[in-house]
Amino acid sequence: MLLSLEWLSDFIDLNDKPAKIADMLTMSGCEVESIEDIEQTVVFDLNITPNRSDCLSVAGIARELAAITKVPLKGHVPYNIQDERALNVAVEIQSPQLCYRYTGRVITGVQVSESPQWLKDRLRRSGVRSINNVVDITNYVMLERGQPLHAFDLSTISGKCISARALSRDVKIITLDGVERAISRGTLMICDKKGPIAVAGVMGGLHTEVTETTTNIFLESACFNHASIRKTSKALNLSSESSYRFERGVDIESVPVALNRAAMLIQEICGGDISKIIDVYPERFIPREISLTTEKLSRILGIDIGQDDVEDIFKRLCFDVKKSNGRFIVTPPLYRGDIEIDADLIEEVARLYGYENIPAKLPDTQFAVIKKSKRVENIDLLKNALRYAGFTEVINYSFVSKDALNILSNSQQANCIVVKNPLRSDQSLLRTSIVSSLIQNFLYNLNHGMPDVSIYEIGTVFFNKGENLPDERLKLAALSYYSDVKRLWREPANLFFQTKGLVQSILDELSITQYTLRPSKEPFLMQDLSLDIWLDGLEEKCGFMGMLSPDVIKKMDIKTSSSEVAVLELYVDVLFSDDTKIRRYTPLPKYPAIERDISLVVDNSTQALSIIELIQAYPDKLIESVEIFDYYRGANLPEGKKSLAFHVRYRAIGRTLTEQEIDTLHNSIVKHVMEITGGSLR
Amino acid sequence: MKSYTSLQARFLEELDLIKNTTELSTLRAKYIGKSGSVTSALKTLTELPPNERGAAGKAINEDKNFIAATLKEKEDVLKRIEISNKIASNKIDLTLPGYYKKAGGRHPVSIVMKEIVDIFASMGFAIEEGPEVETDYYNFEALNMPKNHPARDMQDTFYVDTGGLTQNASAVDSDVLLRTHTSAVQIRVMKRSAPPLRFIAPGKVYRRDSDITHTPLFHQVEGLMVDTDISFANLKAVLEGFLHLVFGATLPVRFRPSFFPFTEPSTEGDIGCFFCKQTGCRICKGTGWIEILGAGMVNPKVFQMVGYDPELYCGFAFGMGIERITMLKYGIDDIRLFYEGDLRFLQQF
Repeated sequence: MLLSLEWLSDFIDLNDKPAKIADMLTMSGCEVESIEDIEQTVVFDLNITPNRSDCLSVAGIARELAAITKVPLKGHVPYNIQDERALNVAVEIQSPQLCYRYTGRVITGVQVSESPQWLKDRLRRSGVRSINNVVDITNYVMLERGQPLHAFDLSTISGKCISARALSRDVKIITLDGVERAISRGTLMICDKKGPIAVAGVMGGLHTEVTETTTNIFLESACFNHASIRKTSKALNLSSESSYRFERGVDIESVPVALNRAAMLIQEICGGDISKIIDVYPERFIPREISLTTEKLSRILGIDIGQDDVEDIFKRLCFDVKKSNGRFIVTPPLYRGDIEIDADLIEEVARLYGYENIPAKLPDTQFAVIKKSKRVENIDLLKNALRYAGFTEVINYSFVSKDALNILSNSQQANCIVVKNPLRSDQSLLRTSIVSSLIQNFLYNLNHGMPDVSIYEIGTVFFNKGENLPDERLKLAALSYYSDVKRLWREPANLFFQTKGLVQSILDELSITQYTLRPSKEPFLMQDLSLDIWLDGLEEKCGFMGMLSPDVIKKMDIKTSSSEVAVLELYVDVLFSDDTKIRRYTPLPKYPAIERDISLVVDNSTQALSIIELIQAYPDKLIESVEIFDYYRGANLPEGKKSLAFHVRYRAIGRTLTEQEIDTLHNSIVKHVMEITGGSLR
Repeated sequence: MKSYTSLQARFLEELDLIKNTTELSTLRAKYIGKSGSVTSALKTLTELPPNERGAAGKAINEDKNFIAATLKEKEDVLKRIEISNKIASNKIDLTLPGYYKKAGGRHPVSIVMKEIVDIFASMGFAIEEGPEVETDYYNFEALNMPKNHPARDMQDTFYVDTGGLTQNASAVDSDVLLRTHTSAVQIRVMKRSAPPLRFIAPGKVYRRDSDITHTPLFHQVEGLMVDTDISFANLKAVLEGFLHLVFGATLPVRFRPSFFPFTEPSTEGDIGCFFCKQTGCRICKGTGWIEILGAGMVNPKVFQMVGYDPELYCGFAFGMGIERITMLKYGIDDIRLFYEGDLRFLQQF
């Protein structure tokens, strides 16, 4: 809200500099976001919180400053209207639960024209456009007193009767902005004999607008149910200065005051005669009494404030206050509708006492044993592991487009959650996969000239399970790509095995040893270069890894020479589930080991793992470990063959082995392996 | 000065001419090898009369030891020279970069999030989490923001359809949304656990907003401390302590009144603008202060909602946006950089 100090001085005389006034307002809850010089006058941009509708006016801010500074408000002559004419309009409230009070006056013989300069100036500095003198005055009084007003051209009101009522059926009305709007049943409208003439509290109708030719007007000042106004404003997607104030609540007691103020200004500026007032106020509002104990006040604030000081604060705020037995009985004025319970009173005391005057004091609580979050720790562990594996963390939006999901496979969106009101059409689904987001990041970086891309993200994915809330699961995904740009040092492994190694190191990092990697059938991965990750004992696989299939690469339409992109995705929570495992150390061996190698030429179809398992399964307790150290295909080998070589390490627990016994054992193992695999020595 | 035997002197003369380890081996063989002169001399000892053998043998052994030791010395010197000659002749370019797997970057938001979580953990706050897709009840209603409350304007909300793509009208529930703040976690935790409570809830939140300072997804850390005797003075001390740890102990901190439906009294915490040293700049909009967090004493209405006795329990809650703190810490001027996945940006962290 814009507030010029020049206008403020109509209500209060402050000797302080603008910066000081701004600081006082900010430190008592009306934040001054900026101080600007506009046309030789200082204008504050105030951020009024939704609870303080009483501050949405020049008079309201003046009242607030009076309470802060103890400087009295300037006295004003009451708005007494002389020579009132008879009122020839009937007013009725048909929906008293939506319209609490409705007042009005008729002003006849007005001359609608341009506003005087001072009026235009004040409106402009408050950010309001000048229209004509009558409309400008209604806006002026709203800015000054916080009470929205509306002027109708009396000649357009059918039957000279006005009613505030909830619609019994849907209607259409053209509002002042020239837009035809569909208003649904139940909306509070201002109606004449024929039907609706204004959307109550939101915007008037075009048909009853005050124009240059208007001579008689009906001036409205009312108080509506704030929730109802908000609902209407939301439904119409139409917010006005008027609806903004009504939905936050206006001062029901100021309704006739603002009416009189506007009527007199209109008479002064536009001429005309003012009728008697009509004031329909079916159920009088009664200020509420709230009790606050001094014990609670001190306990909540953590400081003892003298009872006299507290009483003084309430009085400065114009709250009625009685003291009795360590208790204040406080009655705030009706314009402070935000004060409902004792906590609200505590805030009033605190903010006028000054938050800065409440000393900081550390809590005096017992020593707390906190359960450290293993999950957060594990996520951190993974992030560090990935970082040192060369991967950079990205964070993507949780929403994706159909296309982004479909780049993987058409079935991806089957159980997606749909965002009903997305900002953009390509952000309309909640993601079920993170790889799809990483592919977008990959393309972005490729297009921005990055030669290599290694990225990962840990984030939530969402699956619709037909219940109110979806299934939310934490996933880790990574994507890796190297262009075939020449490099100084060679990577020791190709991309597939790097990625497999990453999966293994992640599982290692989390002390997971019981798992199996099996060929994957994910449709977006290359059939022979992909693996699913299964934790032993689980029904559901916990992830996959592999090279993106040529189909996906083709859909991505990338312009690089290398088309190898590796991805992996893991359900992270499954990996974290076993945190009760106790780790025990293995005693160090007392006797030396003996190592022998086996070097074999076998069929291409023979798997390295099967040979390792074969050796490990050999019925001899002296085999400590088997490790592959060479893999070769190519020249010097027969067609369809490969060479594999293994280190086998032997050790006895209680003694030193002899070379001879190991020679014998090793030879029989070699023979055994050759027999089973059909391989030959290299 | 040390005097040499004639043999030793002759050996030293020859040694002087030796230029490499190969020549040295020849020299060694000549003197102390199997058929070297010293070795042969030892063999001839038996030809001497027994009473002379002792002295002669001693003299020959001294020669042998001297020669062996001198040879060893010379060999060490020659070897060192040969190794450095070899390295020099290989001409290895030591300016080539070393090989290592270059570490990736950690997302700046994730770095700052961790820092904040660690600080609160060190103050005895547990870590809690809640769902990102929430019901209207947990996100608004239970936090004293009933439907049609103007405070809902502060948080423009994404609604989701948990009916899926089937367009099944009966499955559509307008009350499901993407949480607009982590405050929703407060309610979940209070509903399942009794006081005292001291926890933080970090996580993603969503608002329908997108410009240079807003993204539709961002991160928050929410905090709650509830007991029978927790005061506004405590709130100030804990949050002041926190801000000093994040931004430095000398930074001015102030608390001013504000409004949140779920706290009363409410406050916003500002830090002195460190870009202009509080003289006024674009970042602090000339005020000298930067808003950094929202907080307040838990509104008794919220306690009623979760079934806590508001006369018995009190406490404070706070919340802060991580992107904002991250931007201030690193001087990042466009929030959208966080979500573009641009490696040129992310690898700087």
